Amino acid sequence: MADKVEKLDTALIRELANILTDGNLGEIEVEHGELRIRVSMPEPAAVSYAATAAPVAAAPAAPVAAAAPVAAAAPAAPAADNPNAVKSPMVGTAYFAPEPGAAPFVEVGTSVKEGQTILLVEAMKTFNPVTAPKSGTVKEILVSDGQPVEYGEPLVVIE
Amino acid sequence: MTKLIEAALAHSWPTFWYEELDSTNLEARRRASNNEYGPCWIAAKRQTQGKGRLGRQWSAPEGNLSTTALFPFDGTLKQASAISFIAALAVYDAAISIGAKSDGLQLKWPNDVRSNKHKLAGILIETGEVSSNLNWIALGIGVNIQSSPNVDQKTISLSELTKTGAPNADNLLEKLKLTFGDRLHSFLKFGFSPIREDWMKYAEGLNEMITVQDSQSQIVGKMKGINEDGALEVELSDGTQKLITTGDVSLEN
Repeated sequence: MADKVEKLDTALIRELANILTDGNLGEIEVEHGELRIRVSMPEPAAVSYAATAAPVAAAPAAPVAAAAPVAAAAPAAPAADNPNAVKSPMVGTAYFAPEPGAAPFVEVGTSVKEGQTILLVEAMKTFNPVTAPKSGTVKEILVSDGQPVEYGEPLVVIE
Repeated sequence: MTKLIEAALAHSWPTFWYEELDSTNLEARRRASNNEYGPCWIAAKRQTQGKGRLGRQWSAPEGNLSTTALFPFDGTLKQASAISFIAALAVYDAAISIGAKSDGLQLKWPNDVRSNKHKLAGILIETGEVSSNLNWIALGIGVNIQSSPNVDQKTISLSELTKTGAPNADNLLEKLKLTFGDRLHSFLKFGFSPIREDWMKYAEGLNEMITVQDSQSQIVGKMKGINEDGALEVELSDGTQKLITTGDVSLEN
């Protein structure tokens, strides 16, 4: 049943997000039976939903009291669609630092300049830097140090 | 797409020899941060802070070759991964051309050159972004010529593999510049296939059980070869095939 609700949500949320973007709105909330969905746009489109009564915001910028259980897939989805997520240029392994034990390139909260190295991705013993596409602040790091990553996988959110 | 590197191959790349460097890759990085992307070869008689993968120490006493090819690369990062295999073959070719016996000389994924399971040469590649369509590549190569310092594994030197005595580092580098140029040229002309084919010909552990260790997992299976991107193909015990892009390979025997 949870699956069914989740599927339903995805389509609906996408629809709502589109309305939000197209209409340049800040927030939409709809209620249907025991399901209430609120889609809000703090800065770039961040989408959140909850299958229970309490509205939940997944966006880090919008804390909402009494967080109700959120479907496991929910936090990942907005990050993947987040236009501020820096994506992996290749399949490989992501590293936070130039070598084990060294200081990480960035942490959450670090201000970065455009072109600054934020991670390394290794493939075939070739170490490639992932650089910040624009200046900003590291809001979220979506992978762990030494984690295998896919092409296009979101790695770091810079806003 | 790779016009720049093709044009670079039309000329011999200059070599900058240093008496001593922290590491030739670090020197390449310094040059790149100064907007100098070569193409050139950087070499040091002594290297005080040579590094391997994941910061592992690479000891390079005088007499061994420590060098880095620094060049601009206008292909994709995926194509840049091919350099790993091109370089391994180039070192293999150079070793043979100065008289090393081919018996037991093999390549361990992705680019270690070993003789009877003893490491002869190590390769580490770093890239950097110049613009969205242009990267620089620092191809670091260390070859044991006169001595084979024990690092984290068994090593061997060219002096032990040649009857006529090992060459000096300068001569080996001249050979390497030629063999690397030839292999890179072949890659630009024919793509990765001939590189892959030759690499497989010299590969260690083909159809044998291997263990691949990376920072988060260990995989045991039968090594089937490499795919068109250079990723290692490993067949697990349940018959499924896994592609590996990162990790240390060890062989059962």
